[in-house]
Amino acid sequence: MDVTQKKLNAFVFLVPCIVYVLILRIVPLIYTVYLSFTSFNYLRQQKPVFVGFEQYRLLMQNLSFLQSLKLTFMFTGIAVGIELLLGLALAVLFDRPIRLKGVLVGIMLIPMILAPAVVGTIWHILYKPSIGPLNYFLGLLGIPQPQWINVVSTALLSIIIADVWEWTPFMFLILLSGLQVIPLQLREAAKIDGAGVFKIFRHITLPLLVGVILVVVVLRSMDAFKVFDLVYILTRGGPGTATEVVSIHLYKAAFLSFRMGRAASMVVVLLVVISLMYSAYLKEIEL
Amino acid sequence: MKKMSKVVLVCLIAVLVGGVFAGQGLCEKTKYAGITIRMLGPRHNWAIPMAETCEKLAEEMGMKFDVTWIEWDDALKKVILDLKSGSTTWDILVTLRMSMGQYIEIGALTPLDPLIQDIGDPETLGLDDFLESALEQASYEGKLYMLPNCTGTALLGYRKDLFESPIERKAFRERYGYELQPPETYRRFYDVAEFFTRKTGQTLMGEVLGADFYGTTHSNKLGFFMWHDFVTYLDGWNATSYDPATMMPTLNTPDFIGAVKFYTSLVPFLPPEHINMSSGESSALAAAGHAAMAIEFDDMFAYIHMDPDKSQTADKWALKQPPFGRAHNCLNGFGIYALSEHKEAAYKLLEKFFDSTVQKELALQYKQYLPPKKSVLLSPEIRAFHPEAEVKLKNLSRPCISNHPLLAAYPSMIDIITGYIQQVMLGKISPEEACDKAQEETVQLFREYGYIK
Amino acid sequence: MKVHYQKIIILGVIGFCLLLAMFPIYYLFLVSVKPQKILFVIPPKFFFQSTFDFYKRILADKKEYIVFLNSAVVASAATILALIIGSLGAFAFTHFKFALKKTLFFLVLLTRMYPPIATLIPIYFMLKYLNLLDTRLGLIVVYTGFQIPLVVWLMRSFFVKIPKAIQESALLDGCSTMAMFIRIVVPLSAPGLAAVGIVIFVLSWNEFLFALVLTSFNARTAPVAVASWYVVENSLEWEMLCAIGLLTTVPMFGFMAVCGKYLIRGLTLGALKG
Repeated sequence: MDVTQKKLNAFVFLVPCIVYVLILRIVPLIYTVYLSFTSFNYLRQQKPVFVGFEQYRLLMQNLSFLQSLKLTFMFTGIAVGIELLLGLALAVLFDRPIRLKGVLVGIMLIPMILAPAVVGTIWHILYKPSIGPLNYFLGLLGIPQPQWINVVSTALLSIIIADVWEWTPFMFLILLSGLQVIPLQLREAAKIDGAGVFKIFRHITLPLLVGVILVVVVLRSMDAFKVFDLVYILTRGGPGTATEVVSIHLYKAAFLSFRMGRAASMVVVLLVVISLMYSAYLKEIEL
Repeated sequence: MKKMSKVVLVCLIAVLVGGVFAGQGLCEKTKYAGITIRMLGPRHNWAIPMAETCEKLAEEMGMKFDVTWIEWDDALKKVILDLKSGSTTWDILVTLRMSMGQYIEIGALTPLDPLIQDIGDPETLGLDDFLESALEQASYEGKLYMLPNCTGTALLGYRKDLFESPIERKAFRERYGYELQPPETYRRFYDVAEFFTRKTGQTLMGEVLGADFYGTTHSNKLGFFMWHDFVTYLDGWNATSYDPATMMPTLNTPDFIGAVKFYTSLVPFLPPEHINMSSGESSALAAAGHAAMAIEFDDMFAYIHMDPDKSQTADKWALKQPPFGRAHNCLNGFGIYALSEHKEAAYKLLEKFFDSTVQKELALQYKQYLPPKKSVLLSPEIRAFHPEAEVKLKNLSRPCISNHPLLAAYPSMIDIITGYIQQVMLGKISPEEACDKAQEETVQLFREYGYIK
Repeated sequence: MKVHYQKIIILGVIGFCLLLAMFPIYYLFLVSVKPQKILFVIPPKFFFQSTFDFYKRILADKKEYIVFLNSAVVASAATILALIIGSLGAFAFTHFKFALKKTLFFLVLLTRMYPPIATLIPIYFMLKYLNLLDTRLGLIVVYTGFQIPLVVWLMRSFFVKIPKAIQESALLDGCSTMAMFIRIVVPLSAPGLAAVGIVIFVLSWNEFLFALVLTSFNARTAPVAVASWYVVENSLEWEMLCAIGLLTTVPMFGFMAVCGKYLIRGLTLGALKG
């Protein structure tokens, strides 16, 4: 195959994807970056007014925004960590012939399938201190019953638990399919050679799975950083600022006070933060 | 012969007269026939009867009526974008006090006065029959922007059985030195709330409690959830959130601080989940028998506390005016979308709906429906079905300055204030500090909105 | 003996996990059939006279049935399109060498790093200009765009695993790259495709914000219809929300049943061995 043929081939594969992303995702983003240098009250003004770096200056002085960044980092780290461990354990558990495997996997996926608002509502009900079933069962077992989303000390933990419940299936699904792609023969051979379950896992399965693990962790943590529905429905960012994550600030700027310039600057800051977080990983990817 | 001709004459006249009326009906039908009126707004319990009724009324006029139900803050996003892009999709907008300021600000609502003047039928609409305060609240700068069918006013609900119990009365007298009564002042309200807050295992009316019992209950979730409850106390302290004359926020006046201090002092007597409850949940909690008093909107009492299908204590609640102060008045209704292509038809439909006869029928059908029409509120039939009607009318006849300003910045302002009140409730800052900070941020907000320099 | 213990423990653990996953769903169902009167009693009641009134109320509104059709069409189309376009792109990143490779890849990833809220207004006006507001096609176009980066990213990690040897040999045998892609790479990564397909179908089905703003009444999707029951302040319509929340999940099981087959089926070892 000569060079121009190869180039044409590459085009066919690449172009639809890049063009689509460019038009539908990058161009609007450029508009957002432009807005971040303006002051634009969507309700009161017709056109954005250029103000240079004013929005960024205000944002850096906004203690509650910086605090929310910290909080969101913490939430992401803990939630995704737990989701990974649980998801991995579940994937390994399910990676064997089981009767009605399809149905069981399907059931495991239900939390991910439910609409986020429904998930928020059901956990709101579960977390009710006296009316909800969680505290009722804890009481039956004699365990002290926490106030869950109603006190600062357990509010963030409550949201983490709900997030883990909702998104572990995602990790589980991708990791399970990753396991399915690993040729069985390798594991069979090792088994025949007398290797124990854990050894097989550590030396064969895990190394081959590392790529998928990294990918799914990066993906999930990017989404966890943007968590919104759960927080909005359960606590609105409260009590006080105990669960005020970055997306709550963004929502308030964009849809409560309609200060588009401020919202845009938050988006840009978020973008920079997240891309810095993953720049190391991105450099490592073999492309 | 004479008899016959008389009969024929009468018949002819009947036919003629009937024909004229039928023709008029036909005329109306053909004028607006084939139009689809589209409404957008939240499925609140005063809007559902309207949708059902308007569907039938529209059919009579040869039109179709279609509703897209969306919660008010989501509907707001939609309306803003549709308006800015010149979309003519909607005709009627369900207008809540909370977003009315923003709707008017962006020009989403068209003033109704020209429509009333040009094609209005005064007898059907019955403008005089509306409560004056209601029409005043539905107007901005002299123009009427919506027709109200729901005026929520805050009432004090209390458990009669508790207040009449001899055991409790004796204990109260011993502890506080005066007779146990539904409180007339906030000082006494505090005492009663404190008195009735009991833990599991303590007794209430001589019986051991299987669950905690609370003096009162409020919904204190951030945003309008808390604000709706807190406004009643602002009214009690004669405080406002801003001064319309100077457009300056007034969040750190002694009155405002006083209201915040008192409101946050009630926390020990509230259920611990108050900080994440909506008023629906708060009412259901009280209705399930876990609270002694509740200050709530009147339609909530009818809809939840006193409804035997929904409440464990339906027959035990009584209503009175809240402790002395201004009346809390939160008005909701329907307005006409400024870019609607069928403004006249939409107006005519609304007019038919607001006919006092139609309104009275609805009030007799739905427990939570009580429009601000005098003839309805005064009718003995209505009063028999709606125990809250009398107190409501009394409340709404008092002078009221609405603490729900028609400003586009209103929801953001609420967000700031309730955020700081929550901080006070968590013991993080003092009420004075909270009010100062809220004032500072709100002044900045007002500056950004261009209300003040 | 050892094997038996192992099996029992494993089944036990799986059973426990299923229980944890299912309990909130079970409670969701319980709430949707609980009469409002006993919703707030302490302690919570698990056995009571259930009422299906809420389901009846939802199912009575026949006008709303169309939202399920809309959601199904939009989500399916967006998923298929995103899978196709995204897989082609992912393969390009693994197979070819070209200029600006890393930059372009970063660009594709970038779009997942910020909240979609940011692009709401530009996309609204884009669709308005193209007259695609309140149409299923408009939503499909937008949702495909949302999911392509995810597909690219995930499928790349699956494609990278496919041994180069097989691909090279096919090309040497005279296969065109596209044929090789379709006949070898895709089947070998079928579990991955199925998994990604499920994920983006669910994400597209559940997407709310853009569906809210970009549709009015013609192309409304299920989440927007569900949202019409979110009367958050004045009422306590938990039962309605729970009921309709469960109902909207049901159609997705149909899709999953289809995809699940590909997911569970193991590698087609034939191609590897040969």
